[in-house]
Amino acid sequence: MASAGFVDALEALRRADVELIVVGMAAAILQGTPALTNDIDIVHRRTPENVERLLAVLAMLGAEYRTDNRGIRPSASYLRGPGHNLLKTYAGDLDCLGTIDNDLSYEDLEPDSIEIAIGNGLTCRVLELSRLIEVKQRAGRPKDLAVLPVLRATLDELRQK
Amino acid sequence: MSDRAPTADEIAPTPPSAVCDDQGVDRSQIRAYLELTPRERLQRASDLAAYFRKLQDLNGVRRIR
Repeated sequence: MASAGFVDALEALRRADVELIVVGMAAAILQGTPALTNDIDIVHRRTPENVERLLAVLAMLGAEYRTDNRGIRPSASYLRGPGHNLLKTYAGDLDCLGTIDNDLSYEDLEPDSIEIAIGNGLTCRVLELSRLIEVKQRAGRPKDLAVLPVLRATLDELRQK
Repeated sequence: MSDRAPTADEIAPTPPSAVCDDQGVDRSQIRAYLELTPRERLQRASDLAAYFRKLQDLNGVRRIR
């Protein structure tokens, strides 16, 4: 998997039945926003079974924390927590987020997610664009505010389709 | 073909208002993206991210977030 990319990572996760919701700019891109992102952000379901499935895929992808240069690998205890696991993998940077936007978990976000086809008979959940816009607005960081016009324009174009 | 240098008027860029909406967004780019499959969109983003990572490596930049 030396030259794999985001698609390979997402495919590997979904092939292993990891329950996740793609959030952040990758969610916007999957829904049609022409934008750049350095990583895929996912909110994973933090049940023991799902964390085990996630860990197995992360091991296959050679995941290590990119915030530390000691090559620390993610563990079940880290992934079961609400925090943000910022990882580097053979398939690019992957952030496994226990919660986002003031402690919202997979279960909280699932009703506002949609399932989309990613090819090879696989699907994945992504945070619906209007919800993503709300999250970005609340985050309020300059980098979040900067993308709001293109997110809103994409939503507008989708509604006109 | 003339070899004279272009004048400033000749190389003036197209004004943003000619291609963008009132928020500065090029809607034609979005419409083109919407024609792609989600997989194709993510693949493009992935290729660009890999390219930027390579540039950062070449420049000795360590990025965390």
